[in-house]
Amino acid sequence: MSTSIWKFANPHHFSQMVESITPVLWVLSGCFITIGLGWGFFFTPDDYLQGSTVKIIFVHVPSALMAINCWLMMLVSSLIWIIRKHHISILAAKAAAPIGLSFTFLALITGGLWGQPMWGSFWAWDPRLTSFLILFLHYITYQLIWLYLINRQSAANISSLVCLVGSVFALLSRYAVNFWNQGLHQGATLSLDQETNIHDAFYYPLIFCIIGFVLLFITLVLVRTKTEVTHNQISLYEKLRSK
Amino acid sequence: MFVLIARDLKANFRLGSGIWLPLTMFLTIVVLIPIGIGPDIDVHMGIAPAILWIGVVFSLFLNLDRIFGPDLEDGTLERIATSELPLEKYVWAKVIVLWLSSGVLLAILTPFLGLLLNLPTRLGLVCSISILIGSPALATMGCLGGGIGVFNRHGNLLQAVIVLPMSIPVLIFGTKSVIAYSNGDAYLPWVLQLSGISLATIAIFPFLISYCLRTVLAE
Repeated sequence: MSTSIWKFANPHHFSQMVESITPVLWVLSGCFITIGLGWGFFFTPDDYLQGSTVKIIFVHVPSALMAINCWLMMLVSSLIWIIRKHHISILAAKAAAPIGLSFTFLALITGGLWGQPMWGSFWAWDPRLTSFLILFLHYITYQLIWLYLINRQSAANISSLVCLVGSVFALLSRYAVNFWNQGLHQGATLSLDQETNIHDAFYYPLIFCIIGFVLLFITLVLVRTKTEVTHNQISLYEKLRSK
Repeated sequence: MFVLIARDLKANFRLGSGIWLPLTMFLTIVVLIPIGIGPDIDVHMGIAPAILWIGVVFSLFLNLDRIFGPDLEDGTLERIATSELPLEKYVWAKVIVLWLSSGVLLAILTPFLGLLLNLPTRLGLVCSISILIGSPALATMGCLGGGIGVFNRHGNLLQAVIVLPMSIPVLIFGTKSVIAYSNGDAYLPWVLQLSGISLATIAIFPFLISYCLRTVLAE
C-alpha cells in the first residue's frame, strides 16, 4: 500500500508531499507559461485575416480546457468523498472550485475580447458560449454551498451532491443548447482524431501554454488544499482548547 | 404514504399560502414582463411560451424552505426517519404534494394567462400540457432545493439559486416543444425528451433528497 494514492489521504503525508514538490511545480509552471506566452505573443506571425487578435488563443484555449477539466477533477473528488469519506479529497474539490471559476471567467472574458472585433459583439447565444455560461453558473452555486453552510461535514456532503447533480445537468444543458443550431464558434482547436488542426506556428506555443496552465492548476490546487487542511487543524485545536 | 400526501395537501389548501403564493407570483411575472416590454402585441406573442415557462419555474421555486422546514422544526422528520417508512417514500410524498399544489395549478392557469400575452387558445393549451409534463421535474428539483435549504437558516433565496441552473434543460425542451408545435415542426422529440427528464428526476432525486435529510439529521 505504500505506493498507493490513498497514502495521501493521510493529512500529514499529504502536507509533507505538497511541501516537497510545490517549489518544483511553481518553477516548472512558471517556465512553461513564460515560454508559451512569450513565444506566442512575440514570435508568431499575425494571422492574415485576424491580425494580432489571434494571439488571444494562447490564453483562451488553455483556460477553457482547464475550466472543464477542473470540474471533472471536482467530480472525481466528490465521488471519492461520497464513497470513501477521505477528507483530503473533498478539501481538494473545495480548493479547486474558485480556480475553476476563475478559469471559466477568463475563458469567457478572453472569448468576448476576441469576439468583439471578429464577430462584432462580445457575446452571442451560441451553443459553446452558452454551455460555458451554464458551467459558470454551476461553479457559482457550488461555491455558494461552501459559503452558506456552516457545518463543514454537511457542507462537504451537500457540495459533493451538488457537484454530482450539477455535472449531469451541465452536460444535459450542453447537448440541449446544441439543438439551437447556431454554431458561430469554430470547432475544436486541438483534437486527436482530425487532420486539420491549427497551423504549426501556433500549435507548438499553444502546447507549451496548455502544459503550463495544467501545471499551474495542479500547483494551486495542492497549495490551496494544504491551506484548507491547516485551517481544519487549527479549528480542531481551538475546539479542543475551548473544551 | 397516502396519509402523508393527504395531510400535506390538506395543510396547503387550508393555509392557502402553499397554493396562492405561487399562483400570484405567476400572475405577477406574466403581467410585469409585457409591461416592461411595452404594448407591442407581436413581440408578446413571440416570447409568450418563454414568459409562461419562466413564470412557472420562478413560482415553483418560491417557498422551498417550507417543504421540509416545518417537519424538521417540530420533530416529525426524526420520527419518520426512525419509523418503518423509508425516508425516500416520505420525500416522494413531498414531491407529489408540491407538484399537485403548485405545478398542476400553474398548468391550469397557463392558458388563461396566455390570453394576456395574445397567445391563441390552442397554443395556450399546448403550453399548458408541456408545463404539465415538465413540472414534475421542476417539483423534484424544488424538493432538492428544500432539502439543501434546511441547512441554511439565513434566508430562503439560496435554495432557489442553487436549483435554478438545473432547470435550464427543462426550460429549453419545454419552450422548444411549444415553439416547434406553433411552427408546425415535429414537436414529439422535444416532448419525449421533456418527459424523459421528468421521469428520470422522479426516479433518482428522492434518493439524493433523502441523503440531504439524513445529513441534516446527523448534524
